Amino acid sequence: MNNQNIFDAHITLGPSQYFDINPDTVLQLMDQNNIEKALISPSDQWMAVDNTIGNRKIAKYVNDWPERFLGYASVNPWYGEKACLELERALGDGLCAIKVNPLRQGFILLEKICAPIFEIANQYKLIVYVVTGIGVLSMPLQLSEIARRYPEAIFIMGRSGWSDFHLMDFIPSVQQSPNIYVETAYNFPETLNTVIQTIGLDRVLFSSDAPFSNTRMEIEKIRNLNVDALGSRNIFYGNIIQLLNEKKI
Amino acid sequence: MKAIDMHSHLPGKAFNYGRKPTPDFLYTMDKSGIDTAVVFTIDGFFYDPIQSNNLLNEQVKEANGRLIPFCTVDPRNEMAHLEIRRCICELGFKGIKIHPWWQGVSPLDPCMKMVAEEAVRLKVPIIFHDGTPPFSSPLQIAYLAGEYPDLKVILGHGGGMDLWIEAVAAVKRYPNCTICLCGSATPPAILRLMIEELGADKVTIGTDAGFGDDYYVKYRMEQFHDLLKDFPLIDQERMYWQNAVELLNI
Repeated sequence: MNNQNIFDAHITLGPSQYFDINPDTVLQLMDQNNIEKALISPSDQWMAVDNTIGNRKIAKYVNDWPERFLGYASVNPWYGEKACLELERALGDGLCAIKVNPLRQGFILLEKICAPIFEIANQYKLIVYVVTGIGVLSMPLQLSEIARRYPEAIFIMGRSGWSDFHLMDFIPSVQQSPNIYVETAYNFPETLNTVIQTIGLDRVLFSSDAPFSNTRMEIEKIRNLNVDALGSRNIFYGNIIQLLNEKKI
Repeated sequence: MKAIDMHSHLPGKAFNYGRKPTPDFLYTMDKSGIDTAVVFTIDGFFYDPIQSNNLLNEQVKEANGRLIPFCTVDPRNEMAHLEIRRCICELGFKGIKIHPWWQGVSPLDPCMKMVAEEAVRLKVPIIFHDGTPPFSSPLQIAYLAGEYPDLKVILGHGGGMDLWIEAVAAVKRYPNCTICLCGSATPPAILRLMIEELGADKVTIGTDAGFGDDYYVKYRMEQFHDLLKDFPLIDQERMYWQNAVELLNI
């Protein structure tokens, strides 16, 4: 059980206000916790302003460690047409999914400046990781509305509404939008068990949100869910692999 | 090391949790390495606070001093100060818990003055739920600390997931304001930054027990152990229990 493959759906890399996270640190963390592969995301500054620098860096890490990393591209929608061009370029450069962080990038999820990004995701059936749980800017039901508008895209509800939207909004918003997947970081077994009872476990993805959360404990938490070995394997690995195999770009 | 959980709840009918017998609550504390817990209601934020205070009092009696109760009141009730006085002076409660979001009251609402003044008069702290606007942002709560410099104000979640930077600003601004690092509402890596920024004297720990199952409490304590072990022993003592003792005046 403890040696099962783990695919981490969300780890952040790069410089930020408070941390400077390099790939060696992340690889060490992954090795310590038997994480085979991870989807890595550009950090704050790279998401907010230095999109091309960030996307190139993430693509380089993916290229340098292809057995360990897949990458999110991130562009700030306020760059308009330039953002779309950069997104297309980054996806062509080997990144396979999109990360959106309304808090860092400065918009409400439903604002029209975001639409071109989601349209690209919809067109290519891409995975879009959206940080949620941020009052006003990015709440679970807002993401659910976006997911309904762009049914071909796959959305990962980053942080799953934590906090405190995990209390009430989280599960109904996932329930009404079949193209939303939930990540496990921060939420507790009790909530995750309820999600699994409600929508099944096929849409539950393990993520550690390293380096912010505690990777070892995030993994242990999954082992305390009311799921059998196959279910656990799918949360840790199978579900995200299937998603990645389904994407078309 | 001795540990005082500065933020826990005895559940009831809210959220369909059901009442947790005191021995079960103590058993969870034992399993999680908690010696003493400050306990609040959950139901009192939604239903009758006086009845909830009485229920809390009954449960605490069975705990041999290991549970330290805080009362809650409806701040808009003109008799709220009398209920605070009853709980503190007659029942032996040690503080007040206000959950502005669930109780639908801003910390800046004029009715909060009576609560603050009674807390000052009785020399007891008020711990607030925080980290969730519009009624529970750290600086809203800390504003009250500014209005009442003798009031001990505790930010119950240290700003939570996204407003931790505001909690840091609040504690730096107002010397009578401290934070409770309440479990994983804030990412552990950020909790470390907060301690480094504010110093150990401003920090207590809390699990938010009463929400979620027993695993939740154990998980949160383990998270603290993992985090606090990197700090000097003297600082660990402050955060695990000494600061709580001072705040509670016990």
